[in-house]
Amino acid sequence: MKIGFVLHQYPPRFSTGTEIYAHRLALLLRSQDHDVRVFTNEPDARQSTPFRLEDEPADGVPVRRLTFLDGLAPNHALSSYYNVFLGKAFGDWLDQTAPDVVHIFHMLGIGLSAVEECRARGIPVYVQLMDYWFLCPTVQLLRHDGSLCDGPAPDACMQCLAPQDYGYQTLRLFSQREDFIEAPPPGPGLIDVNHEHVSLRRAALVGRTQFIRETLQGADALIAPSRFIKGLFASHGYDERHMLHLPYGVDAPAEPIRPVPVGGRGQVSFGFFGSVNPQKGLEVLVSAFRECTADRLRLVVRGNMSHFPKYATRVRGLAETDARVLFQGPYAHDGLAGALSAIDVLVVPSVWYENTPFVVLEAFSAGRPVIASDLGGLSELVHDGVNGASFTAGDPGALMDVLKRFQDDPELLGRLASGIEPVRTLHQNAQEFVALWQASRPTAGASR
Amino acid sequence: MTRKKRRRGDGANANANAGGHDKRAPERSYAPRDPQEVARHESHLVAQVHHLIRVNTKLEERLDRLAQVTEIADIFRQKKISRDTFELSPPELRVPADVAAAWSSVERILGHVPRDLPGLEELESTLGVIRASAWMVDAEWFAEARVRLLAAEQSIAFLDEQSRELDLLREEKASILDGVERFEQTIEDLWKALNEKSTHIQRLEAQLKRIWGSGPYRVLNGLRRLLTGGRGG
Repeated sequence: MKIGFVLHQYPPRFSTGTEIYAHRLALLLRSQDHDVRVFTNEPDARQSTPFRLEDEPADGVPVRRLTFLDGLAPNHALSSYYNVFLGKAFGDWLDQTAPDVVHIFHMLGIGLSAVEECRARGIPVYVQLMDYWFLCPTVQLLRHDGSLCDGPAPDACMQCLAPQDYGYQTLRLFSQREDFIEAPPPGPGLIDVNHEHVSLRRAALVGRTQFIRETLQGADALIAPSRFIKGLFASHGYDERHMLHLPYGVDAPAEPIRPVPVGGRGQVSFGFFGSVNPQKGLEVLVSAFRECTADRLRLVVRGNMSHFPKYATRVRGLAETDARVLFQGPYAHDGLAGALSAIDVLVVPSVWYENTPFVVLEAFSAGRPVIASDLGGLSELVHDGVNGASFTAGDPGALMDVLKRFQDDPELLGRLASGIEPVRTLHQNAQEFVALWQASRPTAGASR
Repeated sequence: MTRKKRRRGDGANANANAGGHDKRAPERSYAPRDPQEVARHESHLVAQVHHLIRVNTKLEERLDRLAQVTEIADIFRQKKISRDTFELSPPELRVPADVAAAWSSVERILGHVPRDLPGLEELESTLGVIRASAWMVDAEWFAEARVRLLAAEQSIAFLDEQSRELDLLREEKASILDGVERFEQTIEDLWKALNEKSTHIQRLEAQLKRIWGSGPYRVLNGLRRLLTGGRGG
């Protein structure tokens, strides 16, 4: 089967959860004689490339990389989610590769026009809901002050977007002026909105949610990796019958992993794996650890400290005098098995609605119980007292109580480890996708 | 900057010959596009082209300014920078006037000293060494060298900056022109498709009019009126 993958960035230069998942899936499917080709956005941080289409494979997977300078679009607010020109570039790729099916992981930097281009060619298209970008322009459903957001509202969105983006700063300033004339609500289909006038840029932001929802109806189905994200999208007007719940699969550990110690009063190592940024909640974990005087506990932090340097410095400062906290820097995906071997319990103290963090599945796959915030998709994976423990998100006191339980009860670790159920593998995940894609494969000559 | 023109057909085999690596493309029908979607694509692409043309015009202006070599030459002239600016004559060694005067006094005094004075020979030799080291490079030469070095440094930085910006702008312009060309092609395709559709609709309308005007239709219509008592039709 010839399969087209679409996503917002791709290895080797980008390798966070979604990119690694898509790439490993592509490699696995190619090893099963499926022809997977990738169309991706290739962001240029230096912003020195206005527009470029380049074919550069990754580990043998053919990848077309698109770079487009935001400044070249008349309406930046519109172009951030819908850009017909980029859609045409994608359409050219579809004509050249002629896939049987297109699977979209993310559309940031490419836009919703990709769905239209697939439909126009009668190519089945599936969209996997990897995060909240379709609902929230800043992706994470977190307000600018760090509180959880219920969903998009133009003024609130502008408040979140303005600190990150000069274009939105000016838009916010202009739209706050007394003499600002609000454009009439954008007509159906955002036909005449692609202009740089400030009222039309605002109109593009106002029309974002509805337009995305309507355009996504053109996809054959939306794939929700968690029931939480499915419910969340349903609560924002998405048709539940149009969404499939299909959890992620992960690779089995590449090398044997040390089993967790059962019983005894040895050291218990907790691990934090992931980006060191405010929404991942490392500060909550380190604060909890500092308050918890238990001497058998140890914390290993594996994450990049350079993305949010101020935050990282603050967190390091919190742990400065505590020799039990070790900052060991990030790990490569190949080194995951080793990193998991070095800990006994994974902690995911996120303060945003995580969808389904891959690291939780990978920890389960390695037999590690997980302590997680009671938020979003995490609550679906981590069952308190069964395969881990949960605590009130953002509350170091509640987390400290959970950590103490491991000190006080030497049997707890073994009990939780034995409660972990087998994790869906990437192979199973791929089989489910293939079955889904094959079911929607158009018959020769059939009009869709 | 040439671009291979690509024509996209509406038929089921439209993909088969598209300029890619695949000889056997799956047979597919192009779904008729939603008219709203067609209108949106057209409007967005036209707006994008206009925007790019504006951006391109601005770039052209900047390029023109930068490309005016005479203007840069003027700046160099104003700064009194020429090829000669960087050429420097060899330093000139001089004995400063006050040192020369002091030496004359010493020689005069030494002329009055008896030749048999112990240590006189050694004193003269030592003074000779001091005199030899009195040769100095002219301070003006140093000042001039410094001025020229500064001018050279500034010129190199200026030229570097200009050429970097020029290169960037050239790249930017090339990409934009390429993008515009693609847009134009896409719009051309869209117009063509729209025209074909309009022609088809006109043809259908003409056919309909012919049917309405035809004998059998008039007879059928008359019969229908007769049957419905003049209410129908």
